Amino acid sequence: MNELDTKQVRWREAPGEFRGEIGAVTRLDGEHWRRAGAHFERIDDAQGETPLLGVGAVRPGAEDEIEFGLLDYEEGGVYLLVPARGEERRALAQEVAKELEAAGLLSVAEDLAEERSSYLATRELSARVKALEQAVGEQLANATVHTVIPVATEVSPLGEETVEEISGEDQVEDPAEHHIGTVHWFNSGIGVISPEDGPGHVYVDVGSLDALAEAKDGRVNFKYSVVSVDDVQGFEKKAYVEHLAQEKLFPASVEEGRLYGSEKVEEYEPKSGRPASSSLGKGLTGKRKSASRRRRIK
Amino acid sequence: MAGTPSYVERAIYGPFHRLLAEDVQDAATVMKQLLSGEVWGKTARFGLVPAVKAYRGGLPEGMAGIEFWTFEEPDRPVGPRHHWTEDGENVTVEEDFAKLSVVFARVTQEYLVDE
Repeated sequence: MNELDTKQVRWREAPGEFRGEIGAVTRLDGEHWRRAGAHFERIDDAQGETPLLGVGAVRPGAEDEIEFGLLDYEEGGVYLLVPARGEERRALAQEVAKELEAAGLLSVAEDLAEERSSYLATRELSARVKALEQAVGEQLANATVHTVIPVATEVSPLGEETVEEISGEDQVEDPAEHHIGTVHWFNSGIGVISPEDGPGHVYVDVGSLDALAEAKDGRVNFKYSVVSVDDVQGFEKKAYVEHLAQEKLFPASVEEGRLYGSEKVEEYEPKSGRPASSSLGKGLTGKRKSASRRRRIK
Repeated sequence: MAGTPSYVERAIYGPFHRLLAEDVQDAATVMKQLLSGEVWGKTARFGLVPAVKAYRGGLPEGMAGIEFWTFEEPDRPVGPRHHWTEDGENVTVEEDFAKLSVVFARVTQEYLVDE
């Protein structure tokens, strides 16, 4: 939006007696609106802060002008005020936003995106997380083992009877064939591994928070297999992991949409004495030789 | 055998926080808040209706203020500030004030004042 067309917006030189309620939040800061012609005046919001207020007006079609306010707390982004309350203010804010978009001053899809992506998304994700975990659980119950991770014997969070222990590098035919990236731990006990060599995800069920704690000590005791769940499509991984990271449900950070867990697969240190590099890391995720090892996870 | 829980489950929103501020979040205010279990807000200079205002998230480290959760969802789930302006089970909007019932999580500001 380099060239600002402000002909469709009339700006007040002083906010005067404008009164309105917050109808939306834009990501565009006060400077953007100043360049568009807005005049701001500092006011006391009567709630402990003194933001800047600018007032403009748009005229949708042949209808009456709609005045709107821009409330700038000088922290990036401004609140869009409209002279309406309750449900009406949301509709009016959308109407104003569309007019501002028509004037080239904002993009409804991009600059009001926070409306969908921040808190709302988090709330929706909470429900989706539950649904996803349930779906993953069901898939794990029915999935065919694709690749198997060796298991240490000391900790068995799922119980010895659930999965047979597997160990040994002889399971790995081609270490490079199923290169695996970082394991990302979820509080549910599910770890997600993002393959670096293709789409889809594989999941590792570590069974319990005990295992998670164990992983924090730099040693992971898996009682489970890695399974292919590529058919879990539509899983909004980025948003999901960001949600989990924000909620501090597991030790991780998100940078540029990528999740970085504090536990790396390379950190695995099996009790059997195998070198870490040959266990959970890139080396152990190769295709298994033995067909007899293929089974269903219970 | 599972019995009937002796408690209820409810959705709760938060955390939110308010920072120490003259008149609107001072020692006298926080004492009233703690005694009433409510956070009040009046009409903003630019506003049409009284609003309870709070920042999203927990109290930043080292900052004086209050941190709370509430059973009432804020008006709109966006931005760093949240407002409650509409009547609800836990929000009462009167002529001069909006009153929000809250559950306090932390108080890091002074609330005892010498008379």
